[in-house]
Amino acid sequence: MVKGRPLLRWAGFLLVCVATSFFCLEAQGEKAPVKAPAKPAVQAPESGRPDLIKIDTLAPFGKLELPPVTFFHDKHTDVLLKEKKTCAACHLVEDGKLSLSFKRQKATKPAEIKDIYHANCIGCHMDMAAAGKKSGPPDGLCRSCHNAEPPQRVSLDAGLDNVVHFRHVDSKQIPAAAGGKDNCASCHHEFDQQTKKLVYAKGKEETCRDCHLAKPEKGVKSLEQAAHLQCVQCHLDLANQGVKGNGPYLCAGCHGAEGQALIAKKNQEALAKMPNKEVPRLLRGQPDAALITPKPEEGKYVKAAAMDPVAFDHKAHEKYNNNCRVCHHAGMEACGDCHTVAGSKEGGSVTLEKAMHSRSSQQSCIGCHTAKQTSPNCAGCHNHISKASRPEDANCRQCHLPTNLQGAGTLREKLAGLLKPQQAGLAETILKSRKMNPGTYTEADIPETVVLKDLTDKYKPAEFSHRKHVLALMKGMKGNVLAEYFHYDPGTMCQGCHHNSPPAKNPPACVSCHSGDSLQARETNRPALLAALHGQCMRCHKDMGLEKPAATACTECHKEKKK
Amino acid sequence: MLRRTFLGLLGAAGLGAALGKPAHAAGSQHFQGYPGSFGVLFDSTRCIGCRSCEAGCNRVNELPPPPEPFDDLSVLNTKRRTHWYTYTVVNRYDNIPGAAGPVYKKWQCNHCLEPACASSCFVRAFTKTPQGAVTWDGTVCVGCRYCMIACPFEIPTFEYGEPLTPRIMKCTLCYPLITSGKLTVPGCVGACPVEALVYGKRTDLIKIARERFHAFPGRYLNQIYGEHEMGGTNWLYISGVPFSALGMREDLGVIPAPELTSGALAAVPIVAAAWPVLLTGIYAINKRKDKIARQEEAQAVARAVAQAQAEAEAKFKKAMTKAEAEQKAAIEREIKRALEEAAKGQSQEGE
Amino acid sequence: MNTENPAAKNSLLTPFNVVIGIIFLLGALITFLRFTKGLAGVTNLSDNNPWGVWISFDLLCGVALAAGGYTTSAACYVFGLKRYHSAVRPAILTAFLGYALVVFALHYDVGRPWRLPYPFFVQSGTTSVLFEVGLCVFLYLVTLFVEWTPAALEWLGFKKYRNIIVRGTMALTIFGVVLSTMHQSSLGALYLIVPSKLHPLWYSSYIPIFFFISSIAAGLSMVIFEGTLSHHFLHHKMDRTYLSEHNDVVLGFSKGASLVLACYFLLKVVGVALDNKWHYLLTGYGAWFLVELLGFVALPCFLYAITVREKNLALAKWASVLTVLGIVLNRFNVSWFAFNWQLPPADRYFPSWMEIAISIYIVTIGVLLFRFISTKMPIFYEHPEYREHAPHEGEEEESAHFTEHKLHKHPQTFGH
Repeated sequence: MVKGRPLLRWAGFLLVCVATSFFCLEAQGEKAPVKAPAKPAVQAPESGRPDLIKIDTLAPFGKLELPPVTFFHDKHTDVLLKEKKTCAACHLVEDGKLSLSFKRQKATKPAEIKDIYHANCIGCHMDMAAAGKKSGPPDGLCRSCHNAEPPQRVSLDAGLDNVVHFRHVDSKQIPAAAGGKDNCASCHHEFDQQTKKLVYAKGKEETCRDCHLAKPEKGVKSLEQAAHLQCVQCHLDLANQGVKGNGPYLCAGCHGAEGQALIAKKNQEALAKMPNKEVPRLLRGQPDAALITPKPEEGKYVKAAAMDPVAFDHKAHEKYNNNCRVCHHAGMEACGDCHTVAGSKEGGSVTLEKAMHSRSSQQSCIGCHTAKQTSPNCAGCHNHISKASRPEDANCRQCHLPTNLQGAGTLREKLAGLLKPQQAGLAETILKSRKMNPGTYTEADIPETVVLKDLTDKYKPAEFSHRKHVLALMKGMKGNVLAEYFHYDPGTMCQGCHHNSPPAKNPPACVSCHSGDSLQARETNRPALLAALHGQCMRCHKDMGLEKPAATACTECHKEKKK
Repeated sequence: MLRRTFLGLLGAAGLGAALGKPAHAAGSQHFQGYPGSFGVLFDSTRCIGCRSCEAGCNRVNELPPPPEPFDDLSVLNTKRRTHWYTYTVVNRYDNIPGAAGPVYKKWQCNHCLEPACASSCFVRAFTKTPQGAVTWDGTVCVGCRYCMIACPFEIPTFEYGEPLTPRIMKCTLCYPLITSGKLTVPGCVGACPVEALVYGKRTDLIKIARERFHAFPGRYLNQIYGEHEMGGTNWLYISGVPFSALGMREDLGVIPAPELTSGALAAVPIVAAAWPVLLTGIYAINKRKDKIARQEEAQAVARAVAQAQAEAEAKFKKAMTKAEAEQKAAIEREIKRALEEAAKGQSQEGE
Repeated sequence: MNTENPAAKNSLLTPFNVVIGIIFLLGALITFLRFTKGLAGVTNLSDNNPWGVWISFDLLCGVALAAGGYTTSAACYVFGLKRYHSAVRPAILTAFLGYALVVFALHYDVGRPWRLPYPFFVQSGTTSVLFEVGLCVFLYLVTLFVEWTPAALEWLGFKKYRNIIVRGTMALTIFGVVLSTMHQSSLGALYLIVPSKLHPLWYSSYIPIFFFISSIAAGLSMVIFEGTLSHHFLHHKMDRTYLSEHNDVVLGFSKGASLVLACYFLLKVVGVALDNKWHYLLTGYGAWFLVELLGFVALPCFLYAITVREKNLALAKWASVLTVLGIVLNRFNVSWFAFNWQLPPADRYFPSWMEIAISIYIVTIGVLLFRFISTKMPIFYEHPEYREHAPHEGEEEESAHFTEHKLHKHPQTFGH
């Protein structure tokens, strides 16, 4: 065996090597508990493009030898357009149908797919390079395409809203159907099971999402596929024909920030040209008013629990949203057709009550109204109204007809049993008879200044500009139909601050419920007077987005007492 | 040395492996807090960062005035921790995703249900009072500062500048002031102008917090910090943003600190009982082995000696018989020669 | 006149004495500062970092490196390995001084040192691991003191008392092993209460086992290391029994240390595997952990194995240095480098020069006391009246001239 000294030398050398090599492993102090290392957004060039497509077609077949290819679609479309080529240059057309896969109709074997991609991509690049034009990476530079650290794709959701839809409806480029006035048939279709063809059915137009779901299903293309095939191809055809105003055909045109800004600008221009500065109503035979009532009979119940119906102003509500899908999910049926009293499969087991009243849903009535209450003009009061308590009966009555007055049960059934046109007529009558908010009390009845005298030890009494606040709030509510209808009593909006007591011209003093002792807080979850006053004012200012007066700027509200 | 050491170490390792997980015998009880103990609920959605609580605490505890006055809100630009002259600090957290503006957090001793400081103090200077406060007794504190090591919230502070009588300083939940009747609520709670702090029974505070979650679902995260952390604390926090964004550790777990060391401490009586027996046993076995070895050695020696003796005797006997035989033969030879000579002499005379 | 007795005039101003003098002066000064200005005036301790180098080094390393006492006496008396007998007294002395200085160092670190007996006599916090450490250290210090007294009593000539105490050796040894097991492991258990502050590679529910096993290796290595130093400086005090047994001690302890270090290495790996902490090894702290584990545990284990196989005693010297450094590194890691790892670098701790000076001062006191005791009392040699071995040839005259025996170069028997 080796003798001591050389052995010691080797051991020492080994130790130094081990130590150095480990320190070369990026030895840094750990400042935080180690989580799974999160790769930071690589600011590679071409970061943030929406047209980045990750080609990982071979991923389902097993472990990839090289990273997926990062492919920039717009770059290629640009080039192809300059070459006066169409989509068919890469996407095969068969029976007039474009295949969205690259140079093939269906997925074949992995080796074939690989060859298709390599031969065609690299082949085209080489051809372009040979012709002296700027082209993509040639053969041999594998990792230029198989990028190990690809840039981040930033793609915004794109879709139609009422304005864009109107621009299409109004467009001369989209021809009207033969012998008709409107061009709905150019896009809207449904699938005829018997002829196995796409046909147009007037009056039954739905949104695309009614049939085209997130993933392709049973021969029905996914939304992405359908939209691209329909929209992009049409736009591109128009572009090839040299038509101005052809619509975006590049990815960035719809999915990029700049593209969407351009669309918004064009929307504004279109609106500016319209009388009333709004798009005309989208006509599909929908009622102006509707009676929302449960279906008269259901499988589970012999007679469905008839509820006081709601007269719903459909026409007005169409203006509050920029597309129908906000309420009508995907198809244009009436709510009660799927959302039954007991809940049904079509309705996703969501009962009618929940569909109408769920606070957290964007589609429900109450949900949308609640969401509107979070806007700064409303939030000051509505943010500190407890959601745990049930609203007053009068509040329900603003929507639900008071059918409990004479012979209630049969009246409800009768109403529910009416045919839709009759219901619509009745609803219109009821809507006409609705009264909007009489505003609030007269100025004379609203105290100008309220001096808050209680609890003054460090500060002088606060002189609260009461009338100014009330009038400012009223101004903020002007024109807001929700506010004007649901603040049905002159004293209702006063209840924003003078809460938990009936609306009145002389509401009780705060201290009647909010006593000075903070013992209260721990027993009833009700703040004592100081916190009640501060909390009310400060939270309102904060929720309404008012920076002044700042919560910590004490002397702006009450002057300091000089000792 | 080899074998015995190895066996001994194996025994130690085996015992050690059994202690690999905390011994749950001591920890199977879950202390829910003294019934009716008091605590404080802090609501970070109400706090406006005015530092009145710090001023109130300073006033009621008669602490020295800090370098900056309490209405100087620029101190919130840096993150602060408790010090010997500050039982509580308010910190501001900006740019939290999902929050409209800055969020404030008041930090002080959390008065855990099973405090690490009380468990770790070797003179029992800390007491978890039935009223909820964790108090420190200066009459026995040695100043070893193990409580500062142990506290997962990094709360206790030490008067490093005091040469002979340094104290541990931390929030007392105003226990002495409340029990003596001078205050009904802690100084900070009483000073808060927006009731971001509520003093009440811990069970009630949890109920109040859940009522707030129910009443204002969009405003709060559905979690009370301190309900379970480190086994539960008497100071509870509710917030609209994740607690980790407020500098509060969410990786502390729910095991109370005493349970972390109860396993190791449980091993002490076992060692005290088993080791002497084990070691005495080894010693006795060794001694016996030595004794037997000595006995065997003695026997072997005796056998060897006996054998050698027997061999020697045999050899001697053989030599003796041989010598006898030789002597006999010599005598016979002599007799024969003498007889021959005598016979020869006689024949010569006869002529 | 200068030539007559040059040695006598300069005898006090040797370089060694000057250095010692400076250290003592500084020590006295800093002691004064500590008790007039408090810890703030002397240390860099803060509310975030309450324990500094006085705990990391003086307490944790001091206790670990004083483990030679119980390991050697256990090997000799409990396991019956009589050939290590001559190593017992030096080991006991090292341990006794080590523990005494640990308690001395605590008087600097703790806020009210006169209250140190409080946990035992005034109010006990029995839920505290520190209580157990304190109690065991206190009892063990007493045990070590008692185990050391025979040497002092022999020197003083109190035969009767010396014999009484020696009769209790077995009991004292067993008591010492029990106490040592408990407090060595409890020093590690101190950190069980802070999983949120100790880096996962060092935090494990096995910490008490790690500290205990590594203390055995530390003890064995310290005996070898201290033996090497003593050979160099106190050779003239060693009797033939000691010298003749020395090689056996080194070889035997090397064998033991190699096995213990191997066991410790495996236990550490199990500790990493227990909570699936492998991914931490790829971080900076992981690299440091591997340096500690591979360079200061695996490497000396390997070197010790070679020592035993090649009977190369010089290698044992280096292996023991590596092991001792490794133990120091491990204690530093647990109590300082990997502790509070979650704090930003600005809040981390580094000792002030005064803290380091006091630690050096304390070690110096230990060295001086060791030298004093081992030159005056029968530590490295057997007192002729209490000989347990039959005297070797020529030892009769040697013992008579013992104290006048000058230091002379002894032929190196354990080189290469």
